[in-house]
Amino acid sequence: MKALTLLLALGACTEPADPTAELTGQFELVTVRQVTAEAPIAGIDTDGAGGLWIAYRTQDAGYYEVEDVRLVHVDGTGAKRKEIALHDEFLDLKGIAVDGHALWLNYSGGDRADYVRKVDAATGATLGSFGTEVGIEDVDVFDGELRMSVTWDQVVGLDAHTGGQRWRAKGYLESSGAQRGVASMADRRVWVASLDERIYLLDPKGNAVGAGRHHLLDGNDWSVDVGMFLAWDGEHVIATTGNLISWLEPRP
Amino acid sequence: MKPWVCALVLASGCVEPVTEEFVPDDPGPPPQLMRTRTMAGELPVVGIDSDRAGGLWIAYEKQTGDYYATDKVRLAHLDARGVKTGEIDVTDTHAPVLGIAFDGQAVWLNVTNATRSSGAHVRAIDVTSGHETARYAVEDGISDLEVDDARHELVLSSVYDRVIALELATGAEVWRDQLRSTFAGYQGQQSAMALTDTGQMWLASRFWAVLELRDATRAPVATYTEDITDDHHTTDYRLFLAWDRTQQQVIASAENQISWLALRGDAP
Repeated sequence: MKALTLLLALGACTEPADPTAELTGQFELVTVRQVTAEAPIAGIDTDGAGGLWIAYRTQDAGYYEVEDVRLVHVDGTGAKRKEIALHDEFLDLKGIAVDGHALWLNYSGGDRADYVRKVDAATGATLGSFGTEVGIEDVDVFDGELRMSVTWDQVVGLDAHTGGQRWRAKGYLESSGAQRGVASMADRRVWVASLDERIYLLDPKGNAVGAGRHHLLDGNDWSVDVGMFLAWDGEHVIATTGNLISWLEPRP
Repeated sequence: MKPWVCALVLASGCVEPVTEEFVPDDPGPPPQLMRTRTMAGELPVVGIDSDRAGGLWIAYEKQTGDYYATDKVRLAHLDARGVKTGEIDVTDTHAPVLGIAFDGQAVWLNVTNATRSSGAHVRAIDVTSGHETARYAVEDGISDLEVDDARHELVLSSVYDRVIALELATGAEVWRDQLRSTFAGYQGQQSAMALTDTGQMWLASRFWAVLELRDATRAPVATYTEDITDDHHTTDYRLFLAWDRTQQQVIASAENQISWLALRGDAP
């Protein structure tokens, strides 16, 4: 046991420090990789193994027809591994989240019809759903929680089993309706995107502790529908703008 | 739950609030009505009522087609554990549902007037057969409804700060009471309503994050702050109330979150 303790102690000594631990105040989010997706992106999340799940939404019929929604799984090399076509809703798909072998889809922007739907990642079959409040822009799953970004600068955590609200973070930002994507880190910190040049970092108490500046929204070539869905792969913030996916590396 | 909390619950009847892992540095004063249990409806909620045995009837409305298509209206029954034990799909009438009430055999739906002033009505759906068993026209502005078991009345809450009682069997108006708005200058704010087993009345405001308690004569007793509506940026959210006899708590549904509310021990 003593030897094991020594080994553990040595291991702890040689373990590299978490470079994201010092992310406070103002820092940079440097684009280190970009890929163009095959269609407009309606949501993104990591698969936990270096790959991505991407939701696409394309209009392929008349204005009053439902749109084409596809859920695509790509591996770490970018190769497509799975594609699920869904009969869409008359609502906008805004954000997806990987939950083990299932995906959560956020449908938002309807006439009080907003809800999230859980589908089987292998078949696309609906496994469950929850009605949600209005204004949800993106979703994330972390440790049994369904985390939702509310456009009015709030993050809401729901029990992923019952849908009951567990917490609500607010008061950390005043974008007045410009908050977009959300992604969780392993230590319970949360990234939230806004329609400006920064992605904000919240501590586990819901206080803004840092802001990373990026260059994804420079210029006037984007709109409020630009996306800014977020994911976190352990080292990079992954953000979408239109049909562009960018890996952003935090640098203090 | 911690043992000492359990002991406190047994001793005083107080309950533990639901988990809040995110607690900001300056959370402000807690609401006087705290959530003891929360859940989400599986689809957008348009009404709730207690089943009188600790369970719930919930009405859902789901957009399934374009604007001109009928919606899916579904009544779901959950037992006291929150497990769904049955559901009934109801033929939609091209008008929004706003509130339900359970009379022991049927669920009454308040169907508002979406397009014309003469369309508002309530309809009873037998929960065994799923068939409509009664329908009464009602005035414009009804925002929630309840059944008064003792008086055999269907009690309607009007957004125009009034309460109207109809005879359950015939729909005949029995009485109405124009309530004095709690907040002067804000007429037209009344929304959801619940009746307790002792005849007290809980009323919700569309504009304020409070629930008002009135006695059996509808005289004001007190107002209590809550946190189920204060984060919303519109007065058009769907808010409904019910009374849980077994827990002696108000059940509130706001934007698809269903919460059981109990008074904090230090509330006046």
